[in-house]
Amino acid sequence: MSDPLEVTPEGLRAAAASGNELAGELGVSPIAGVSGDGVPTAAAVEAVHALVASVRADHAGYLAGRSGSLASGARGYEETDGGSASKLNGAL
Amino acid sequence: MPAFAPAAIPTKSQIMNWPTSHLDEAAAAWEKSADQSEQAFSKHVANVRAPGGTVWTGAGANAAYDDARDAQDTVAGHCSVKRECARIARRGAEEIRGAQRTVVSAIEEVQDKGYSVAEDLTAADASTGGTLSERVARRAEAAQLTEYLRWHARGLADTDARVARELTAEAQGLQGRKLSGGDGTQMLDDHQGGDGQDGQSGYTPGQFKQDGVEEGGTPGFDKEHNAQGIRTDEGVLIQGNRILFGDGLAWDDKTHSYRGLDTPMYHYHLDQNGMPILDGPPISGHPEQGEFPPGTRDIPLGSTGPNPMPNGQGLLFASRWVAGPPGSSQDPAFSRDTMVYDTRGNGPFPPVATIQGLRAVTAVPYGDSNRLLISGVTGEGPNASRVFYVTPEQSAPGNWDFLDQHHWTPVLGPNGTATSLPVNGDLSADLSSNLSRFDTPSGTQYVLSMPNPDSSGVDMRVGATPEGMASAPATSVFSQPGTFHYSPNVTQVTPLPGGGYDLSMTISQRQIPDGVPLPDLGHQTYRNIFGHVPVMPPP
Repeated sequence: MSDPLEVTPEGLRAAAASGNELAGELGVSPIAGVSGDGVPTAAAVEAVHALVASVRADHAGYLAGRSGSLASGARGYEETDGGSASKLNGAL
Repeated sequence: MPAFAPAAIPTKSQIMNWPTSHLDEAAAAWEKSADQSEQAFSKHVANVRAPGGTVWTGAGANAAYDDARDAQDTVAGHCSVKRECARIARRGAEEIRGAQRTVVSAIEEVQDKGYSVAEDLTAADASTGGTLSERVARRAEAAQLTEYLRWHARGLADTDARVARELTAEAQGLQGRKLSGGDGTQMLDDHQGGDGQDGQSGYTPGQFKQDGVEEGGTPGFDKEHNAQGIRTDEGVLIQGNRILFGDGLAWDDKTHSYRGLDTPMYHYHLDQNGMPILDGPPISGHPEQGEFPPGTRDIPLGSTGPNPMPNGQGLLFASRWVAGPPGSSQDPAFSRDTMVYDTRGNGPFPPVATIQGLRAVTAVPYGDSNRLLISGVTGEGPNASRVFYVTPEQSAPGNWDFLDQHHWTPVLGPNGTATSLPVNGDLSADLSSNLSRFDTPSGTQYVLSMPNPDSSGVDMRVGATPEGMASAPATSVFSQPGTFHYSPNVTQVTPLPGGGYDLSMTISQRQIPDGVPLPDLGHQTYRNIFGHVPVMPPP
């Protein structure tokens, strides 16, 4: 017996689209170039920038991946009601 | 991530134009990044709880919601680190501007006294006239003012370097726990330093590339760099851009002989190759406080390195040494214990602890906390070995409970027993070694540089953890059979293209293992070898 889903394909698609939008926002770095070349803090700032950018990319990748799962669940829901539950449960 | 060695003395132009806006700009960017990530994951959790405003219940919904909340928690940790970095950057910018104002005021003060200040901060008498004795007095004052200006300038450079260290240390918190790449399953990864499970990093030392040799010891290859003409060895770097030597000798033009300098300490700066250049006369001829009978001294053999722990605490490790009988050419044994000195002040340094049963001690700040990875030699003859520990956290600068050996944690090898490395078992052998560290994008790397078992060269081991370092295979980075090596010191670490790192090093070398009478010391026994070891990243 499947889980009692009241969620709709439209709801899942809306959530997926929102997640993609969030991932896109995080994909744009708020960090510009580093001035102050030649002092230790400039090199440190550059190194921290690189880590922050890496973490943001990780966050964006996670959100994009989850959005894909939600969109996939929406497609499965439309194909068969029973299939959608197992597909969605398996994907997340 | 770059590692920061003590900075050189900045020039007057550099002081006047010392930048800080990059710190303010970075702080704003990191806070904005934290806000954006938190808001994005807050919306993500809301999306999963009610996709498009619908109701979603059941096992799948619960799993998705738990997954989203776990991710949100991880992101919150990242954001906390970003905001702390921003706080350090803002506070650091203020501190650097304060240090800059101080040195600029000092320059103006010197100029107001009628002296000119050159680009290298040399103060010179700008006035003409006066009696000979007045001119002599002003020249002497100019020399003092030059030292005064350079002291403040070093303070500015040190402040910037300290803020850089604090930033890179805090940013380590962004490594490790990561979300997945979006493949539908969350992966929390405590991966540290690219090391796999054994802490061995995959970073590989290459061969020592020799830049030069200073006959008679002491960094500085010519009169320009070593105007004191001193001959000595060890060269232990401590906090505050200071270097201490063992048996110091200086040529005396009047007597045409070498006179003893005891264990002199100097300010230094690094040249473009990372070689320590002495800045002037000794700032102390006997850096350690205490009563020393004639012929006895504490020879500096190790330290916590040029960069103190995050709380500003640095330590010097010294061995009590008693000179042999007059005319003896045999080195006496080193003490089996190590004296520990607090190096926060100007010196002489107060003794704060004795480490029982360990000699040739060296240490390096461990992780981002106020703990030490510490190592020393125990035993003698065939049982002599170098062992490793991690201390508890120092609760506050000036509290020495963390040096109580009963509370140290041994560094274990793969088989669960304490790691020990074979060393030269001769009690008179100088086994001084060096622990250092550098930060990479994948985590901190710890480096052990030590004489090989017959002291004919220097071995290096690199690891992402103390365990990984101590159990890493030794790379013989330098070898010259028939000579005796000791006191390898890493003076600077700089990133190389391709992800490697360059370690600038000094190595003390003696042509004969045993001592010689004092009058002969300056002529033949000491050499200071300077060069670089490249450390390459995992393939």
